[in-house]
Amino acid sequence: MTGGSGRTGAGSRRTGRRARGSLSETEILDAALLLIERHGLDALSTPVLARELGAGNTSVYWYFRSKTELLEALVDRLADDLYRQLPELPAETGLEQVEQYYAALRAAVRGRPAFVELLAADPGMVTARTEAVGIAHGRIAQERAAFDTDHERAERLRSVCFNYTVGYVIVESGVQREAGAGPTDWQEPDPGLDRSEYRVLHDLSGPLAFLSIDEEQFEIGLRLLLRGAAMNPTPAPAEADRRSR
Amino acid sequence: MELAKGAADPPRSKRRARGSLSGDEIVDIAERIVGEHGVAELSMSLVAKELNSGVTSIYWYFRSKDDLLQALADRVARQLYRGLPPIGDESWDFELMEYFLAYRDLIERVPVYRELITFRSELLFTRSIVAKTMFRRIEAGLELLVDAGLTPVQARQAYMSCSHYTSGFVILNHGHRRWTAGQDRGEQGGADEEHARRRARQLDNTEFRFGLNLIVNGICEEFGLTRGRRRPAASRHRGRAR
Repeated sequence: MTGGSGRTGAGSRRTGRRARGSLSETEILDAALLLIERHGLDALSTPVLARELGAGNTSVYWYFRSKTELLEALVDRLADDLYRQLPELPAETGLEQVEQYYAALRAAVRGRPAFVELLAADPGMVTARTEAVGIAHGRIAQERAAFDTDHERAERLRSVCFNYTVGYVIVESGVQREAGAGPTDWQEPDPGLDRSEYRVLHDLSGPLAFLSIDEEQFEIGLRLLLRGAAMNPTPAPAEADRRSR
Repeated sequence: MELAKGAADPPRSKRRARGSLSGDEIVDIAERIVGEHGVAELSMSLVAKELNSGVTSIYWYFRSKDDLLQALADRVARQLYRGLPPIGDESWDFELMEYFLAYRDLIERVPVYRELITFRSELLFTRSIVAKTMFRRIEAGLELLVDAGLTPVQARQAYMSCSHYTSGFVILNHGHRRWTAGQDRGEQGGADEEHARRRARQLDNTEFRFGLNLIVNGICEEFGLTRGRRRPAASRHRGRAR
């Protein structure tokens, strides 16, 4: 998508243009957010953004030298906002509280469609920036403290929970993007699948039943993860009988 | 199919002889571009350039980049499921872990898998023409759990927990690598090396196994299974037959 106007230079046309210095970083980020939510990440460009703001390209460049810089600032803001929304997590709390916390994290991420889109487009950048925003520091310490165990194990546990939650949202958003793209040839296990060949799937067929990527499945996986985490030391398969592949 | 295409109006240029192009050849090139440079870099014009042919010829075979990507995803998914080892005769928990470890290993080994699963996973999972192969694979995993004592619904819940965990993990790992590679090329500013290293550790093989093992223990706790219990002989036989 292009800006269309072809205008550059901030001072090229003064009429109808906003006064200089009236633009702020916050305003640019607000407009970028709106654009992503309305038209998607691909539609975002400096000319489009400038036009939306009634400003010149140069004014936008003044704040953000590249789309990457703009997106990074956007992620920082969304992440900050997201962590603020999360409930407090008391230290050495029960399984249920931790479960609710990560369920709230998933909901908070999903409640920000632009964040989900950014996450899917660049998971590396978004997770790195998210964990680096100022507020995340205290949050991560809280997440660690919620597990009643030593520092190193607590860090591993919280990182696994974070990865599970964020990874789930990405997979989920991919599947839903496809499902929402209109009439598709979704492949369902056919109820007529030969029962002798598919004895379990045969019983499970139904709309999207086999993929079951939804809130309920998220919570089940999280509970399994946390119930496993609550066992300390964690049982593991005997190393001796590991197959070499 | 090829004949029908050859009979159509050709783009007149001194480039490749007409009829010398094939759909497979186009997908080959797409596979190489996606594997080496990523989904984002794939374009119909780049494919045409690589093949020394006109863009119109490419559009003759694939209506859009998405069409081409779907063909690539179908090929990749087919190889993916064929490349997975069958379920063996060990205990259910051992086999379940091996199943998802093998899945992750395979994706990690082949760049184009990683790239597609990270950025276009829907192409691999939702409309793949290899659905039947995929169902067979899922069925084998579900049977493993049902034979261990779970109901079909519990089996699906346990299986999908491992499956989504694995996919998410692979995506985050690949995403992280792509991001740090971009930083090395100076595409992004403000790289925090210490953070990048820590993050890479959080996404490595040991941590993947650590998390998967937690889920398997959670399955025991939640559904009352015991680790290390051998599967009944009848189901082991079935497992091998697949």
